[in-house]
Amino acid sequence: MIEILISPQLAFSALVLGSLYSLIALGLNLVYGTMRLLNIAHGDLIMIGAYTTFWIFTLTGIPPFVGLPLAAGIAAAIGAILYFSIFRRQLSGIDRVERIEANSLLLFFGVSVILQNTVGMMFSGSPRAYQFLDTVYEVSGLMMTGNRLAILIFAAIVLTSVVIFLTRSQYGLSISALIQNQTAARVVGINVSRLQFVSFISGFALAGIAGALVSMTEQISPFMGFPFTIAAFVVIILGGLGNIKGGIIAGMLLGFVEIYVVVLTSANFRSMLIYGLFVGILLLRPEGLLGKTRRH
Amino acid sequence: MNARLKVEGIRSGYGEIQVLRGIEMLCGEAQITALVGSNGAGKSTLLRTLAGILPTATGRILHGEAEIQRLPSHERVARGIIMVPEGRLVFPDLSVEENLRTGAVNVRARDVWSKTVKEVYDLFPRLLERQKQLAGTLSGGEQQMLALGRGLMGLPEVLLLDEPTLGLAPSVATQIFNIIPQLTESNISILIAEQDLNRVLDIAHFGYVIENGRITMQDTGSALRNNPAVAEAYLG
Repeated sequence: MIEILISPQLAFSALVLGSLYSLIALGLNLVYGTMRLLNIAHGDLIMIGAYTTFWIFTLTGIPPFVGLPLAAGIAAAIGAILYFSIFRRQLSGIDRVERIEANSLLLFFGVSVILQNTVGMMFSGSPRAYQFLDTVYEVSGLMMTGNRLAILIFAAIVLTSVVIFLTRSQYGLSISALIQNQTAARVVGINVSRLQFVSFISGFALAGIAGALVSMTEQISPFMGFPFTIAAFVVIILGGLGNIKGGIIAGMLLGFVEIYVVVLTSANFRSMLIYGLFVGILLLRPEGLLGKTRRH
Repeated sequence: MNARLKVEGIRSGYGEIQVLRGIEMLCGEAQITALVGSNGAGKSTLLRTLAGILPTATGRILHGEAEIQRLPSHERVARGIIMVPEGRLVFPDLSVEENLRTGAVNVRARDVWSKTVKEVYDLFPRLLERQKQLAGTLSGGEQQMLALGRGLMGLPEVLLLDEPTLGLAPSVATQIFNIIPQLTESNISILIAEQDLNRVLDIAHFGYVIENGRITMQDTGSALRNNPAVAEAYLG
C-alpha cells in the first residue's frame, strides 16, 4: 500500500488533475472576485471548449493545441454576449448590485440549462471522444501519456502567466485592487466596468481553455460540465472566494486529495468526497482554508 | 475668488432617499474649503457625489468650464478630482507601495508614478519604512497616511478629504492637520469634511455649514470659527 502511495505515478496523476482544477477555479474566481457573480454555468463553458476542440480535431485533424485558442475565443464570445445582454444591466444601479450574488445564481442556472440543451440538440446527448497523443511514455518507472503531460505543461504555463500578469503589471494590480474593494477601486480611478468586462470574458476564455485540455483525455458530453462546476466551487471556497492565488493552491490540493482518497478507498467515494468537502468547509471555515479572516 | 470646483443645486442620495437637497458651493483655487455639520447632515454624501461614487440626481458640478456631473468616477479622477474616502479603504492585501501605485492608474499620473511616489515618501517617511508591508497590517494612522498618499499619487487638482482624522490618535491627527496646508502650496484645492470643527476652521480659507442636506451658513474660516451659531448647528 505504502509503495502505491509514494509512487511517482500517483503524484503525476494528482498534478495533472490539480493543475486542471486550478485552471478551472482561476476563471471562476476572476468572475466572482471582480463582479461578485456566481457562475454556475462555468462547467458548461468547459463543455463548450471541449466540443469546439473535439469537432475541429475530428473534422479537420487540426490538433487540440491549435483548436484551443478557438475554444477560448468561442467561450469568450459567449461571455461577451451574456455580459452585454444581461449582466451589464445587472451591475448598474445600486439596488440591483446588492442582489447580484443571489440573482446571478438564477441567471447562470438558466444559461447552464440553455447551453446544455443547445449542444444536446445539435450533437445528441451521447458521449464522444477522440484519440490524441495517447502513446504511453515511460520515464524511469513513471508511465504517462503525451496528452496528460501536455495538460500539465499547458495548464502550468497559463497559470504562471496569469499570476505574473496580475502581480507585476499595472493592469493586473488594478484587477487585484478591484477584487479587494470595489468602492476603493472607483475612488482611485480604476475604470471598473471595463475591468469587469475584461475579467468576465477572460474567466470564460479560461473555461474554454480548460475544456480543450479536458477533451484530450476524457469523454465529452453535453452534461459533462456540472461535476467541474462543483469541483471549481469547492476549490474557490477552499482557497477563499476571490483569492486568486489561494484558488490555484487549493486546486492543486483538491487534485491530490481526490486522487489519494480514491486510491485508498474506491472511485465510488469521489462524489461523496467532493460534496463532503464542500459542505464541511462551508460549515467549519466559510472564509476558506487559505482565506484570511477579513478585517472589516 | 477663482473657483476650481463649482457646485450648483446638487441633489442626490441613496436610491429613493434624498440626502442632498440643493447644494451650492465653490472650492477656490489652491484653497482649503471646510465642510462642517453634524453626523448625517450630508457631508459624506456630497463628497461621494462630487467624486462620482454616487450619481447626481439634479444640478451641475463644474470643473473649470466643464460639466462633470454625468462623468463616471474614473473620468473625474483623470481630471484631477480625487477623493480620500472615509474609513481609508486601502487595499488590505496589497503592499504599501502597490496601494500607492493603484492611485496612479489615471492617464495623467501613470507614467510619472515612480517620480510621484518619491514625493509621497518625502511627505510620509513612515510609508517608506513600511513600503513592502501589506496595508491591512498597518495601524489606523498609517492607513490614513497611505490613503492620503494614494490620493496624491493621482496628481489631484481638487482633493476631497472625507473625515481624515476620524478615529485617529490626537498626535496623528495633528500630523495630518499639519500636512494639509502644505498641499495647497502644490496648487491643490482641498475640500475637507471634518468632525473636529475648530481645527478644520483654523486651517480653512472658507467654510460651509451643512444641515439636513442644505448649506445654511458660509463664511471665511476664521469668521465661522468665532460664530457661536456654527457650534450649535454642528451639535444638531
